Amino acid sequence: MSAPSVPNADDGDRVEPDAVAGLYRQHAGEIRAFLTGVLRDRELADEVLQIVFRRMLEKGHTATDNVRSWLFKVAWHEALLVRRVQTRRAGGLEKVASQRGFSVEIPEQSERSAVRQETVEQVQRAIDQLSPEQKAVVRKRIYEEKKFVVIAEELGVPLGTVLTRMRTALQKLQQTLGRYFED
Amino acid sequence: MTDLVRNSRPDDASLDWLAFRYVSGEMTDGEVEVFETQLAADSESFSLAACEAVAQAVQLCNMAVVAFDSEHKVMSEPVADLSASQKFTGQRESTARRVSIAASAAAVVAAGLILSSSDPERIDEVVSRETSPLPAGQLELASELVSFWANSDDELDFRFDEHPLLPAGEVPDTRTDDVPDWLFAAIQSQQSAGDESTRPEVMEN
Repeated sequence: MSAPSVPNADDGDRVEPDAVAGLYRQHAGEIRAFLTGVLRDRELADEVLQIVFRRMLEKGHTATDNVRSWLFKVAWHEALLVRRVQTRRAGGLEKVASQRGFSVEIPEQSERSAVRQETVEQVQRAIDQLSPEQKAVVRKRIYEEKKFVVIAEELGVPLGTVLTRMRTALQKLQQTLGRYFED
Repeated sequence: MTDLVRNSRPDDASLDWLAFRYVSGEMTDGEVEVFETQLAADSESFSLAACEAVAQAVQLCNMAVVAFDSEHKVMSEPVADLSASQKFTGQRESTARRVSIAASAAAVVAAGLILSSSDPERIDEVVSRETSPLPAGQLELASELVSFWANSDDELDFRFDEHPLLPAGEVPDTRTDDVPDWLFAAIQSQQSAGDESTRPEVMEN
């Protein structure tokens, strides 16, 4: 897979640093979130984010209409490279571990980004507006990181019920908090 | 995972729901493969909306975690000293168990001292009466303590860390005669915790 093409530095298509900074301020948050979703690792996501914008600074971009789309594409490409390295390393580690008779669990780092207090309060209010059943599922899935199957067993309800509650809760939260997703 | 797929309604194919399942690890490998074609830069199925949905799902989860975290910290403030070092129910429960053992043993020892010069055969009877609410394991410990005191002039040299009834590695502070901080805090925690069982349940309004 080849990265989205970038112009030669001599082509004069470089983006000025202050422009890159502006784009960083505008898009870094969601690109980082996107990378975190793909890589499941906040530190790696931060590193790849820097790579993406460093590339833009050094080589410009080839976006014809949508810089944001270009950023996502480059981010995906870089994330894939990192993920391949992760997979190879994890596979090697597990192989060594199994040879020695113990298991290795590659932990997923939990995400704790800097969130403004005002946002926290808004989110708390939004969560409190959910029904108790929906709030319970949201807490168990997002905060306690339990799988839906486990949640269904704990609550003694069908899996479909848990999924419905979660989906409904997500819709409500996104409707209420939609503007907080903007950079 | 197959249940997850089977229980998904046709309209669950909305991007937001798919994105959330993707970032939560609630997709089968096949679903991940299909979904990621919408994220892949060089894919014909590339979808900016899908990328945005992934980013929003992560951001929503972040905010929810911080909100729940914030709620948890507020709820746990009355037990500040203990909560900092004992975040998990398992540790609180084992500490509470040690406290109940130590407190009951202390009561039994006090009763035993009175009886030690009288009728040793009554010791078991006293132990049984004074510690009747205790489970058998703690009763055995208390009884052993009293017997030790009653039958020996030596200073009590009972090492908690060697006793099989106590959790291994949990050694109370015996440097001074004062009630150790962990015991005092554990008692306060036990009194204030009440029927608290799990952390999540405490957080519910």
